[in-house]
Amino acid sequence: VTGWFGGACSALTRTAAPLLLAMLVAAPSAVAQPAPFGGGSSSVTAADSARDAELDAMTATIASRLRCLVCRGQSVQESSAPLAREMQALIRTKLEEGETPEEIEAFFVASYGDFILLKPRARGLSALVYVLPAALFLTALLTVVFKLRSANRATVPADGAAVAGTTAASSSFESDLPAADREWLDAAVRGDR
Amino acid sequence: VIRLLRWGLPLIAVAFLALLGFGLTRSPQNLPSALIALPAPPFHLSNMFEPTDSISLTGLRGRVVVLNFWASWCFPCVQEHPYLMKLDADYDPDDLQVLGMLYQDVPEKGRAFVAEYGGDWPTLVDPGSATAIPYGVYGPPETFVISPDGVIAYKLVGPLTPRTYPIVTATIDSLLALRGPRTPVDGDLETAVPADSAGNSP
Repeated sequence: VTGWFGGACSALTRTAAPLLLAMLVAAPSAVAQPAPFGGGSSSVTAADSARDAELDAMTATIASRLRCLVCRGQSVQESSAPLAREMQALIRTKLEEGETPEEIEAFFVASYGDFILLKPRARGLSALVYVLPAALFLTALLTVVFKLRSANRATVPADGAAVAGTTAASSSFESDLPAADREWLDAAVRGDR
Repeated sequence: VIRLLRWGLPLIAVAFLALLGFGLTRSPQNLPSALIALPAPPFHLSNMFEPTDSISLTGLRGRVVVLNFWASWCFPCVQEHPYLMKLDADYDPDDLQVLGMLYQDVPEKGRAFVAEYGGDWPTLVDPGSATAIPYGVYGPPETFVISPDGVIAYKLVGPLTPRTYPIVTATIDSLLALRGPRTPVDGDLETAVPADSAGNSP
């Protein structure tokens, strides 16, 4: 390469080479430079989003235990009613302030009574919800058991008492029988026939 | 045991049916407040008419407070409004403070409501129902009667009507009778009785 072009090339090479070298040296550091900042930012964001997700999950858990008061049959979590949304926001705020789920639930019970709990507490009249089905089931079971046992006693006399009972029970029936039949029946009971 | 069951089962069935029957006689709207006889949840909120002016419940100690949760979109609130105006007019401001609490509404619409229907008692703005929820509010109108020492004495769910108004006034009257003559509270310079020359209050 000769002439003005060659000179221009060599001049360009002379000025560009240090520049290129500087860029090559600087490039990793330039790339690396934002890394700590960018990496820190993303780790903070990741921590924030993890905390957000945790709070969201806790809010959802608490809200799903509370009754929506303006839309019967739905929980606060399921409902999109304004009051339910405000309750969700309040739950979230209280969690952010460090209150425990039990404290938040107690706060809503203090304001609205046990009615706000979708799963009623087993105390006072609400205890009937838990006690009554069990009591009715037990009663029904006992009835069936005793009915079956008494039916068995009546059909299969197991001992002398049962036979005596049967005899006593049938005494009024016997009194209506003619004398010959009564004797035959007494002999049969004694085992003579 | 069989005899017990023979009598017990029908008794249980009758008791259960009686419970269900009792439930049928009760209105599902009639939900008792969990807050009766308990301290009223405190608040410190801005006035709808004067946003820079804020009112707290503790600042109203010594007076019976009728706290009315309302909204401009609530039709029963229109119906009960004349009764609130009557309450405000019939009682001495030293004895009774009517206080509105705007529920799920914007101040502009609240102000337009008052401009149309009247009433000059303060109404507070409650962002996010942060005060309505601790008060256990389901929906407007709901009215609380709070004693001079800050205890909830009565809660009315639904509007003030010819039937419910006397209940509210009877509650107010009994609270005022219990309180006796008003005693000045801290910062209440207007009604404070001046000390005599010896520096002792009479």
